[in-house]
Amino acid sequence: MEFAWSEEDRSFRRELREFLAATLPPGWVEREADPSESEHVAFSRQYAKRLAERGWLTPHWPREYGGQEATPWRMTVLAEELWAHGEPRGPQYMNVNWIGPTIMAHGSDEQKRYHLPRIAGGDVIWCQGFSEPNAGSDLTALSTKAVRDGDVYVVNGQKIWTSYANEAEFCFLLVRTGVSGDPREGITILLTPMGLPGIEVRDIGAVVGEHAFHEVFFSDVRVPVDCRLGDEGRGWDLVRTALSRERVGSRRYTRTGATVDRTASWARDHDRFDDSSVQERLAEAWVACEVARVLSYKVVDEVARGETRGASASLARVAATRADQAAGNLCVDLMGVEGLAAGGSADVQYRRLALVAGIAAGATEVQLDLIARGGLRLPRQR
Amino acid sequence: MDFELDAPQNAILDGIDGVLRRHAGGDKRQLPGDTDYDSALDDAIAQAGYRAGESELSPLEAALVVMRVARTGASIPVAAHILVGPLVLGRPFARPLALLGERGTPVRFGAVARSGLILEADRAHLLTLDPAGCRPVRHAWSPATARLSIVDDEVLDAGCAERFRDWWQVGIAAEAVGLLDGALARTLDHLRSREQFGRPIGSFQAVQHRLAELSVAHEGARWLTCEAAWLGAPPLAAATACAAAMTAAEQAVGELHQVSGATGLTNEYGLHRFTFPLVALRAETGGLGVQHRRVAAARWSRMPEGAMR
Repeated sequence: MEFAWSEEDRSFRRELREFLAATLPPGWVEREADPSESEHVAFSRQYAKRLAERGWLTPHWPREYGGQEATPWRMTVLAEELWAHGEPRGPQYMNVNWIGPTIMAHGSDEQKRYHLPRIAGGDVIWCQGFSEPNAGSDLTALSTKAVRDGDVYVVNGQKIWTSYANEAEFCFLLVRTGVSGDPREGITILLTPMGLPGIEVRDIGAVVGEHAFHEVFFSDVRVPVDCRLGDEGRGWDLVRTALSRERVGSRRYTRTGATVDRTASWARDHDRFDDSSVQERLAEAWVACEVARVLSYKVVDEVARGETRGASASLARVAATRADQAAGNLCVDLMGVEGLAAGGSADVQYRRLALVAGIAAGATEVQLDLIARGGLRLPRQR
Repeated sequence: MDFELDAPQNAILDGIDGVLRRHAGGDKRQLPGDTDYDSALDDAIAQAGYRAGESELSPLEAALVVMRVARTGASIPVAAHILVGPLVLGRPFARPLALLGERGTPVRFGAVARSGLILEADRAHLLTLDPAGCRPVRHAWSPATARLSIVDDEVLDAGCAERFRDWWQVGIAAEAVGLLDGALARTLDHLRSREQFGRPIGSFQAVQHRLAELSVAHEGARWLTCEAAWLGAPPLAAATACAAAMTAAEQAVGELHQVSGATGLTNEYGLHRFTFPLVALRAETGGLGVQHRRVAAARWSRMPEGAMR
C-alpha cells in the first residue's frame, strides 16, 4: 500500500496543466457554462480535436487503434485535470470511454474502420439511446421495437432523457428484437445514424439546463442491418460489459473541489472567511470532495489490477453525488439570493449539478442497493 | 498508487491478529468490566514491538495496526501507544500515555496513565502523572476516566507541537475507523439474523440504504486516513482524515444503535464497546467543528486564492 503518484504521472499533470492554461479561453473555468448549451458543445468539438492531436483524447486505447495504452492512473490524471478545468471534452466521454472500446471488442471490421478513427479524432458526438418512458433504472423493460425487413431493421418507439441527442451524429441505440420470459434477452444494439428519416428529436423543457434533456422518436426508421453491433438479441451482455468500462465514473469531484475553492475565495473577498461557521461549511464540502476522490482512487486501483466486481464503484458514485450536494448547499447558504441569480455560482452548483447528481448515470438508490448487497452482504430484498 | 497490502504489511497485520487472538475478545477478555484498561493486551502489544519507527514499522503500517486493534474493541490507548507517542516523542515513554485536549477535564485512561501529552499555546508538553493521585470520574463513554494528577511538566521542542497535532488527528482517525469496523460487523450480524415480518431486518431497503450511506463515509475515512499516514500527516491531509472519520463516527453511532433496536442498548449485545469510544473520541477532538476549522485553515490560509489541488 502506498499513495504516491509516479514521476511520469506527475510530469504529465504539469504538462497537461500548462496546455490547458495556454489553450482554454480566459474565464473558461470560472464561467461554469451549461454543458448542454450549443456554444459549449461547439467549443468542445474543436477542443476535442486539439486534445486528439496530442493523443490525449483516447490515450487508454490500444496502440492498433491509435492509443497509447495509458494506465488507469494516467487516465485519472487526465480526467481530474479536465474536470477541474470545466471538462472541455463536453460530450466526448461516452464514445471515448465505452462506445469506442465496445465497438473494438464486438464490432465488425467495417464498423471498426468507420467509427474508431472518427471517435479517436474527436470528430463525432454520440448519444446514448437507453432510457424510455417506462424503462429507467430498470433498463431491461425497454420496448422500442426493431423488426427485421430484409437488409434493414424497422425501428419504432421512443427514447427519453437523451443528452446531446440534438447534437449527436450517432446513437448507441438499444432496441427490442424479441420477447421471451427473460427481459434481458431479445435486446439488440444498433449504431444508428441520427440523420435517418423518421428520427425526431424534441427538447424537453427542463429546469436544469437549456438543452439538457431530449425525447427521441423513432417512426418506421429503417436502420441498415450493417449497423447492428454483435448478435441479434444478445445486446444486454454487451451493454453490461460496456458500462463496466465506466466503472471508475467521472472525476467530477475535482470540479466540485474547484468550486469549493472558489467559494472560499468569494468568502474572503466578501469578508466572510473569518466567520468560523463559514469555515466549517467550506471544510465540510471540501472533505466530501476528498472522500469522493479517495473512493474513486480505490476503484482505479481495482481497475488497474483487473478487478471488476464489488461495491467500490457504487461507493465512489454516491460519494461524488454527496460532494456535489454539499457544495450546492454551501453555495446557496453562503452566497444567498445574489448567488442564485441565473448563471451565478450557487445557481449553477445547485440547479445544474447538485439536483442532477443523484439521478444522471444511475439513481443513487440503485447504487445504495448495490453497496448494501455487494459490499455489506445484506440479504436481498423481497 | 497501490491500495493493496504488500507481503510485509500482511505479515505485520497477521502478527497483530495473533496477539489479539491470544489476548482480546470473547472469553479471552480478562477485564473485570468494560470500562477498564486492558493492561495485559497493552503489554503484549508493546513487548511485540508494535510502535511506529520500531521494527521498521512505518507510520502507515502503525495506523493499520491501530485500526486492527481498535476493531476488536480493545480497551487500551491504542493510537497513543502505537502511533502518536512514538512519532511525536521519538523516545521511550511511560505507558499508559494519555492524550489531552485541555487541562482539568476528565481524561480517557486518566485513572491509569503514567504520562500525558497536551498541546497548549502552540507548544506540546509531556506530563508525568501519578495515577495514585488522580480523581476518577464516573464515565459511561470512555474507559478508566479520571482527572489527572500531574507531577512533572516538560515543555517539548517547538517542532513537537505541530507533529503532535497532526499525528493525533491521524491517530484518532485510525482508531475511529477501527471502531467503526467493529461496530459495523456487530450490527451486520444482527441485521442478517434477526427476523421481523418474516424476513431478516437487514433485507429492508430502509435499513440497507442507511447502512450503505454509512459505508460511504466509513470507507472514505479509512482511505483518507491511510493516505494521510503514508504522506507523513501533512496538516491538510491529517485534518481532512480526522474530519472524515468524525463525520462517519457521528453518523454511525446514531444509525447503528437505531437499526439494532433495544437489543443494541444492552450490555450483552456489546455495540457500545465500539460506539461509546467513538463518541468519546469526538468529544476529545473538540468536536467536528474544530476539525472542519483546521481543514479550512490548512486548505485556504496557506494557499493562493482560487488555487486548485
